Amino acid sequence: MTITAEPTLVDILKDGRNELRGRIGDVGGIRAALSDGLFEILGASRREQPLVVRASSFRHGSHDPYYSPLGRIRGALVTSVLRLHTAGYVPSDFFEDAVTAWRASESASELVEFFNVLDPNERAMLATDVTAHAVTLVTKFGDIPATWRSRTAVRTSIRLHGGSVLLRDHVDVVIGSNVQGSGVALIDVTTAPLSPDLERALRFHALCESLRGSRPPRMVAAFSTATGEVWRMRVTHDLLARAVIDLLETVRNQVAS
Amino acid sequence: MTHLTAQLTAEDLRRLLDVSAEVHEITDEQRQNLSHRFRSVPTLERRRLDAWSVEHSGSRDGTFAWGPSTARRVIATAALRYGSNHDIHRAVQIAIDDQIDRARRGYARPGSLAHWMVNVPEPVIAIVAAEAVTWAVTTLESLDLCGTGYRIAPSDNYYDVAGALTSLRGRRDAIIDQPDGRVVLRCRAGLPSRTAIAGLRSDLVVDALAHPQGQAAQRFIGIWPEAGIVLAVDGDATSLRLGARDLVRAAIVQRRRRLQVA
Repeated sequence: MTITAEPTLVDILKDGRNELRGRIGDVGGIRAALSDGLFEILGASRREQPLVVRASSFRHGSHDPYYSPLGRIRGALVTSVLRLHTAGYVPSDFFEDAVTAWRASESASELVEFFNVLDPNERAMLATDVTAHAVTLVTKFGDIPATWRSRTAVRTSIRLHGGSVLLRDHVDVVIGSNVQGSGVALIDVTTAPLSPDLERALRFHALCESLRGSRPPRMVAAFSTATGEVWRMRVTHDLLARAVIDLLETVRNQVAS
Repeated sequence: MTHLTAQLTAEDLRRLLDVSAEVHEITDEQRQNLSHRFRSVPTLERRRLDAWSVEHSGSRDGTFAWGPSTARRVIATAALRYGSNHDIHRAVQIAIDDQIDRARRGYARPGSLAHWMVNVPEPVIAIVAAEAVTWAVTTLESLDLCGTGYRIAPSDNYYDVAGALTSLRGRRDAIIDQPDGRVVLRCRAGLPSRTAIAGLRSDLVVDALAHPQGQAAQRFIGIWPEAGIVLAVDGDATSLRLGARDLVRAAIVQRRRRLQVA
């Protein structure tokens, strides 16, 4: 009997680099469609306070348990584990090390305050939850080769329509290079199971990267630490066009509310 | 005086690098005038001014504390100076080890990055490494759009104003040598603020003051990779004058605030 190890996320991305050949170049048309759509919704006037659109604007309702304070703390701690993992650090205690790293990065916030007042039972439950997610993450993520120019917690801020709309994005892991020709892949690591809402968030990541940089990313991927599932999507003109539709719908809803 | 706005694309950056402007020099008389202006704003303790203080109207960053986000640029630029284009993780680790080693041998002053790093737990060091790798790769990706003709700056610029207890600091990340001058680049986080041009002008003037012959860069370029925006100021006489004026104003506002507190 031969035991074959399950492919890690990094293995899947390696295959993707070979399979998903061909990239779209210019995104001028996407930019123009977005610009026209925003003009249709907002008119020529400029807003004093910008409408802020984030990936989370597409993927949760207020009732979503993954967006409760405890869910957000778990997400932040698992992100810390991911960053420790990409830095080559091997945690002795996933939870305690993640808390130390998280608190160093986020000195004072609403979430830190919430964490500080957790009772011992809540803290113990959170610890076991984070450890379970971290084990899935570390075993299924794989080691990113040094030549892939990986970076973590990458932020993007794009002003549109004269500053009336602000796109704020945060991608957990970005690998590859636009300049060296390989193209980049954006990876969203989530503690929730993969869902259609996340697909919209992935399209948003692709759109932000396309508007920010000189070229659109080659692919976007999502990895769930709840299930170990991976989604991978090639970035095409259609995907970016759908991202524009999603974004305009979100802006329209924000204006209406 | 010219300032330019562009997208972070290879085409736009190369257009900004195509500069053949005359190189301006800061004369000894201008240096003396600047010293005189700073001396006329008295201070009992050493003041430090930089683009940040100009952009924030002389506010003193009294709450500064080392953390992963404040340590990342120092570590990342040190790593980039090793020239390790292929294994930036390794270069960042060497830069971190250097800091810790310096502190352990007793060469780090209290309050310095090295002093902080030697006293924090290992997971925090790992997060600093992750932040620094991200900063270094983002900087490299932006600089690589300029082509291959850039070199990483050996250090930031520092200029002590004679007899005025004033240190000026100008940040810079890369230099592109031109046939008759140089272009200086700086990468920054977030979105450019409304006062970003004033900050770039102050970096430009400190760069010129720190140059042995007082030569100004032909153009000073600020890159905001998160926003995909590039801003640039030309190194002409007007930009230099305005840059120096903003630094003096920052010193004046700092003094007024201190008097109010007292």
